Amino acid sequence: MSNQLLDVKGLKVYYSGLKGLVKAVDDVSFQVGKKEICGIAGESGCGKSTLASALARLIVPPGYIEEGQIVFDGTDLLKLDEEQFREIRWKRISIVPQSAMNALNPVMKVSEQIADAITAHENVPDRDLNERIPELLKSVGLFPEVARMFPHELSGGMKQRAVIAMAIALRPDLVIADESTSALDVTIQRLILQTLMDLRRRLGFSLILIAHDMAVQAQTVDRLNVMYAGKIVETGSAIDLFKEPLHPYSKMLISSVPSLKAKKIFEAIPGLPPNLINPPSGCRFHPRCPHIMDICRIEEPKLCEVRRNGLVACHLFGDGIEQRI
Amino acid sequence: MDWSPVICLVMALSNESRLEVNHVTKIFQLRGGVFKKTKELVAVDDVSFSMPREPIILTFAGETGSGKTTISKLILGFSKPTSGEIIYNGKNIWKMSKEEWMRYRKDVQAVFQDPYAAFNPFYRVDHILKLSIRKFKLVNSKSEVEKIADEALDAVGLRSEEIAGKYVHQLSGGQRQRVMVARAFLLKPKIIVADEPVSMIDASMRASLLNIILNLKKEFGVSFLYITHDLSTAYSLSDRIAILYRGTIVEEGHIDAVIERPAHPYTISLIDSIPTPNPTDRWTQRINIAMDNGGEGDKHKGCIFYDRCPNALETCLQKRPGMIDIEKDHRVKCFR
Amino acid sequence: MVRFLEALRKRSGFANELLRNRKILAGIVIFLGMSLISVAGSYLAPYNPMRLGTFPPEMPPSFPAHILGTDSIGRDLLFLLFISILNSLQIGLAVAGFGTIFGLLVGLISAYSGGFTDSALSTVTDIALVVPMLPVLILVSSMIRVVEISTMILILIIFSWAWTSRTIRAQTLSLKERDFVYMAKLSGMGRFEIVFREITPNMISYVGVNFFGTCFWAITAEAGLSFLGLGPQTTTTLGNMLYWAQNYSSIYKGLWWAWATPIVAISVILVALYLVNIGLDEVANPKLARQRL
Repeated sequence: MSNQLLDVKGLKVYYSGLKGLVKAVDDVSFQVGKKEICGIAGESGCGKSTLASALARLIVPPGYIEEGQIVFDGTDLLKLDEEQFREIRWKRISIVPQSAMNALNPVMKVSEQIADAITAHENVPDRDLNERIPELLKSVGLFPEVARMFPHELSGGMKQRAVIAMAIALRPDLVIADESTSALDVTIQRLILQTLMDLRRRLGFSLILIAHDMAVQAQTVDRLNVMYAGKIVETGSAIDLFKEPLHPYSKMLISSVPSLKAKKIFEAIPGLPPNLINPPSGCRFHPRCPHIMDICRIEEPKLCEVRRNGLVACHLFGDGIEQRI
Repeated sequence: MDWSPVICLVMALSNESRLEVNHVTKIFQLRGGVFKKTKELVAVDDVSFSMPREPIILTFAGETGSGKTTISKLILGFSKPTSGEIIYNGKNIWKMSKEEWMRYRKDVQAVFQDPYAAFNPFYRVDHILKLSIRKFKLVNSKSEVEKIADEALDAVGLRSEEIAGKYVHQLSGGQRQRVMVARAFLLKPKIIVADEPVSMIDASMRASLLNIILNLKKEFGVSFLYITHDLSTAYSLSDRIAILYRGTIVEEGHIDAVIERPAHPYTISLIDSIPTPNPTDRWTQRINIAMDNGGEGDKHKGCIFYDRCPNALETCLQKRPGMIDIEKDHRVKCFR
Repeated sequence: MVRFLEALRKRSGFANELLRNRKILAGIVIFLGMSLISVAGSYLAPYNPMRLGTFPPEMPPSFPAHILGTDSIGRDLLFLLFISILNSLQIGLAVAGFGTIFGLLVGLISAYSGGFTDSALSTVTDIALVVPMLPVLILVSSMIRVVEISTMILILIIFSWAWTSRTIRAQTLSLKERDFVYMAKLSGMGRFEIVFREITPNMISYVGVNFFGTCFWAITAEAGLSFLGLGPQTTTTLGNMLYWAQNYSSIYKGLWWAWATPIVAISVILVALYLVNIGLDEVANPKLARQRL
């Protein structure tokens, strides 16, 4: 489909650890369209950050990509060598990594760091840089004076915006934002999300928003993928998914968000987070699922289309036949 | 026999609050370097509140820089107020004798934000439990130590077999946090200061921890000072709330009053910025927070929220507003 | 104290990690090996190896009489070597042990007390760091008639504790703000107890690295000082052997066994210590450990 920008097929990313093989991302497939905002939700340890790193080919040992394809605009990124990928990284796909605020070099000025990000991937003369950097800062809502400052002089929100500026510096087609607002106050979070949305409208890139906060996902994304224990358990349009979540895990995640409209008792998801070295047999969610059936312990459900553009991996739905759009 | 003086005394005692914080201010001196003057950072500015004897859950809500952590440190006695007093059962905590201070320590406990950092990685997790028991001489014999530890773990829903002999890194975030609560509860305190207890725990496990807090209050009568930046959990959890901004309480009162009828512009913007898990109910207005220039801008004598207030008046620049009662159990620090 | 050792023993996981690391193992094996051989060897000597003129001087190595030859003043080099190694190791370990303990105490007290105590102790530490060793030593040796091993140890301790103190102080400063220290305070622990039972165990790797680093430095320093003639004169050390070798122009005369022997011995010891140090670093620093896999 010409409208598709990214097509991930059967991606497996494992880590060889002291105690065994950690299957952080286990057979994940999803698509991102052009100019689409795609969300990936799930709690810590579900594999979403590993997925983000894999998309930007930033997996380092002891992690490795076991198999899979990442087809970006027709090319399988995993088949490119380092030189070829350099053409893509940052220019066409960029990433705002988790805790990016802490990734800023404390002894370099902001402008120097942005310049570094640019010149590492493009040959730009200094004169142009001096024009582009203030433009960039303005586009993320920072005063141009920020360029001369050091990271410790900036607040959390400003640091996050500086990192976003670095990510969009070369006008990529795809931006991956990994937990970009988790450490921020709620008002700053809103501001950052607003900034991201503005930038997206202006520059037209696709955005993959990785966040564990379901409310944030609801407010921003077009489509949402819910991950659990290294697999995608549900995917669908934001409106459909939130109105009627199908997978029990999605349902519980959404209902665990406390609300200000009514007081309700806190609903917990029973059990412990899954062990990725030795995941539960069959459906990985079965030890914690309130609707567990016998088959859930034995057979792993596949993603099947239950409603238009909506896939669920659960034995409560579908008949096990895998369908892909 | 005339019981009235006794009754009066009893009533007086029961009306007196357990913990009172009176006009406490904490100013940090920052060294500016060789050529700059010493800068002052006003972390807490004239804060007053009290915790009554009946068990309640009082929330302190504020963002980073609001001073909420400093307040918790002041209450726990880790830091001395620059001015003002903290009174417990009628006595200023900095003027207490050694026994009174031990009593205070026992009655006022804490749970911290980062469940991993709160445990010494060198020891097993039950080290901190046994330590508390020993230090406060809760028991007389060694065999009873195990019993009390088990009771505390039970109250937070953990079985002692689950955590026996384990180190911090072998437990999940939720389990660690529960052990921390168990440790605090062990000493049968009257007040537990909980500083962002759930912000570092996954959503699926937050609920169980919050339920534990509610349970401790209902069943064991423990009051909580719940410090958070997340208003939504506060709404379902607490009885009263105080909103902090840059070191002062800008609005406080009963939880329903403040959340359903917020008066201070900061409270309003805070509530408004909380995302709801409903894609059809998205933020329509754009917000425009003035650029944060690191707190340099409040050299004027007026209201601290002046820079960000959409309804600012002339008077706001010149005078500090005081606390005004709006309705029953609902006060606001604003001229409107 | 008992509880501390108990905790140490129970923490078998940590001890296992230490011993599993190949570098540490190699280093310790070499170190112990050399020590044991030297001890055994020095006991086997049928005569006092330090007595001058026992044998014809400057004889090249020959089997089986003089495996390493003799030096220019008539001593058998092999047995001399054993005693020298023992003495040098003794100096190294003594300096490392006392220096590290002293530095640890000063660093801990300084950092935890803060305020005036901290400033005072820090100033003392800085002065100890800045004073140049060589001129002071020359001064001292010109004043003292005979330099013994114990004198040497004392002098080296004075110059070595300051570095440990600084590292420990920095580490304590950062540790004392950690949550678990606050937890300990809330549980009713007193200041000194917190320092020794909560903070110190977390610094074991730093103390270990400092210990072996100081040992390394002490052995090198002793070798250098003895080579210059400032070292102990009552007994022989590795540096001392070098001194005599140089004194009698062994290099010019081609008596390679006289100067090669101590140099090789020193190198082997230092390599062993270095291996242990790197190994300790790997175990203590989780990031490096992960890369190993």
